[in-house]
Amino acid sequence: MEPLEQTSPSQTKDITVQAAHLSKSFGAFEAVKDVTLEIEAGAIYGFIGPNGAGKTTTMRMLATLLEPSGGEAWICGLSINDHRQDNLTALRACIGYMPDFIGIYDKMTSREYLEFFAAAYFIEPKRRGGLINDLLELVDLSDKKDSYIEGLSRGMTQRLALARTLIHDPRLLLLDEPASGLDPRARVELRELLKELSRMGKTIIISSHILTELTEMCSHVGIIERGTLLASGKVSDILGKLNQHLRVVKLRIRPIKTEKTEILRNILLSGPGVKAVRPLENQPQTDWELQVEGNEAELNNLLCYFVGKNVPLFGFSEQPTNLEEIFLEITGGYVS
Amino acid sequence: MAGNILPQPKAGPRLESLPRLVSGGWKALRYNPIIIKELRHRMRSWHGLVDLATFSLLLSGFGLVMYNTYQNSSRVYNYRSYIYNVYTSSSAQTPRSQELGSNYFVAIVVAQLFLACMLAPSFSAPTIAGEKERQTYDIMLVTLLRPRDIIVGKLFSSLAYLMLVTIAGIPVASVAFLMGGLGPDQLGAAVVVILVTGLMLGAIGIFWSSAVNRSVTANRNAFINILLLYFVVPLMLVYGMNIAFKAVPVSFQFSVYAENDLKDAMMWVSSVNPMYAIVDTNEILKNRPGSNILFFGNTPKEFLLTPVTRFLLISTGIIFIYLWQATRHIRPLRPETQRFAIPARPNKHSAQTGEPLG
Repeated sequence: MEPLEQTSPSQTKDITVQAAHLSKSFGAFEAVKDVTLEIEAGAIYGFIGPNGAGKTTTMRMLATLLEPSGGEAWICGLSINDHRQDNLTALRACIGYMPDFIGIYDKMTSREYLEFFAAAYFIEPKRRGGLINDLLELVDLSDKKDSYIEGLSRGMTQRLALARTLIHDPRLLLLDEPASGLDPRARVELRELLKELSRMGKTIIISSHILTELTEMCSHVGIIERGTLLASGKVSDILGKLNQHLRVVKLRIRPIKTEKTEILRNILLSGPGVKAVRPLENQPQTDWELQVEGNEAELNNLLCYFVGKNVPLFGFSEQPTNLEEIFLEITGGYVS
Repeated sequence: MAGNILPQPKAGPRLESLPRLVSGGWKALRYNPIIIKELRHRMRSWHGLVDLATFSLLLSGFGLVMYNTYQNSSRVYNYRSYIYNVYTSSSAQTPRSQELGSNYFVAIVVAQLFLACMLAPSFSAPTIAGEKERQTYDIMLVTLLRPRDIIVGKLFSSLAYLMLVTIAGIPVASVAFLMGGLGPDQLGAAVVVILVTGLMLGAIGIFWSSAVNRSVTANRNAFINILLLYFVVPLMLVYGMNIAFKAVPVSFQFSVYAENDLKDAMMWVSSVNPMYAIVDTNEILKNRPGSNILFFGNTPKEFLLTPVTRFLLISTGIIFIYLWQATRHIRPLRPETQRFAIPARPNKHSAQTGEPLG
């Protein structure tokens, strides 16, 4: 397969994470092979792959917990291969790492847990109280401040761990399967929280093998399979590359008479770049889906064309990307 | 660097600022977050207090039993017939109450050493391995705490309770003052030896805790290590030296070791064991005029180091080696890799050049 990462030029401002030919072997087993990627500041980068694909190993290397067997990576301009204490300190100050399993200390309240980590990050004692209150409020755990951690639900523990990850105000969050084991409500809450953090300017790398939980959240995506990064870049770029610029557009029109359905279909099909048309099953009189070839400008032309043809249009939207389809297409449906 | 972080202290303080170094060391211990967390955890429940009371009661009971045993013994405490005293030419006999006090004191100290041997590794061995089992190890490592902060924090928090037990045992040992035959220096040395023993065994526990992933394995390995290091290997070495260099029958009369180089070497080997160090130093003090807790004389080789001093020197080395190795274990990225060239840092804004990336 053609290396898709070449198709995702990141002509953007600031690069928070840059990896060049990063690899890790455990004996003869190559867990990560030649991973090269770039992640812009403020991006939510979905790291997708089946279990055992190398997501956690890559994240652990970026978190300075694992030494790469080869290659190099820079976080906020600092090399992960430079093990001098001052570099490691600066590097770890930039990183907030949340592992896939949230280990907790027993006989410890939420406040004490955060206090411990605030001290471990050398945060000034007089600032800790206010900071902890703010973080607990951010993750909606203010009322659990003095509750023992072992008494918190899984979702609350996850949010507390996220607060812990944020305590030193890192620029990069490495979140390894943060939504695993959460109920749907907790997943939605976590997703909203991550969006909020992204708005605050944090760069987030989030790994998961559950693609639907990343669909609505990620601006960028990296697909890893058996240690090899198959694609990395903006979601729309990857989708465009995969579908040869085929986009799915959903139309909503005013209800029309049944006998005029065929006329409408022909008008829609005659639109510039339209490859296929189908009414949606649940609302065949009003909702249609088009497969369109082209970029944003061509979509704009298409909309003008429909308006010019007096299509009773009141909804025109490109469908959100389906990461599941991207993943299956890139990996050829293989799941290890 | 992120905004919340305080400026880091500079490494490598100079010797001329020793008072500052000491005060800095104390502050580093006082504000070490791991010590605070662990002590809070340990002393939060009633267990800590109940355990301390139990240890003190058991020690008092043991002291009472030993006192009665010595008191009721019909044995004449003639030190010339006593195995430890064969080297002295002195014919002086210690008054009975002093003998009683001395023996009682040694019994209490040996009991406390035994307690230290049991408690120190079992407190320290699960500390880091426990973090691995709870899966909190990684999140601790990615903080700004240096490996030595983690090691020191874990060691001192696990030994703090042992220190409490040792200090609580001082009044029980001090009863020997009432009987005589004991100087304050001996009591002080005993406390130091117990604490250093705790530190040494704690360091071994921490070493195994950092080396393996399970608390049970760390505990088992630590106890095997201690058994080999303090009992099996010294006994085998002394036995081997006796066999190899002496024509006379094998002897374990420890205090006679210092009479020549071979015996001096055997005393060094035996001094690894704190119980030997305390018992033999006590005998030396009783029987060699002019001796003190650190040096003894009145032999062909004047001013030799007492077993206690030798023990402290050896322990310092052992503590250093084990803690150094433990620090290496918990450092995921080792400085050895600095041997390799560090690639130049890329320009953070390289993407702005317009050149296609990837």
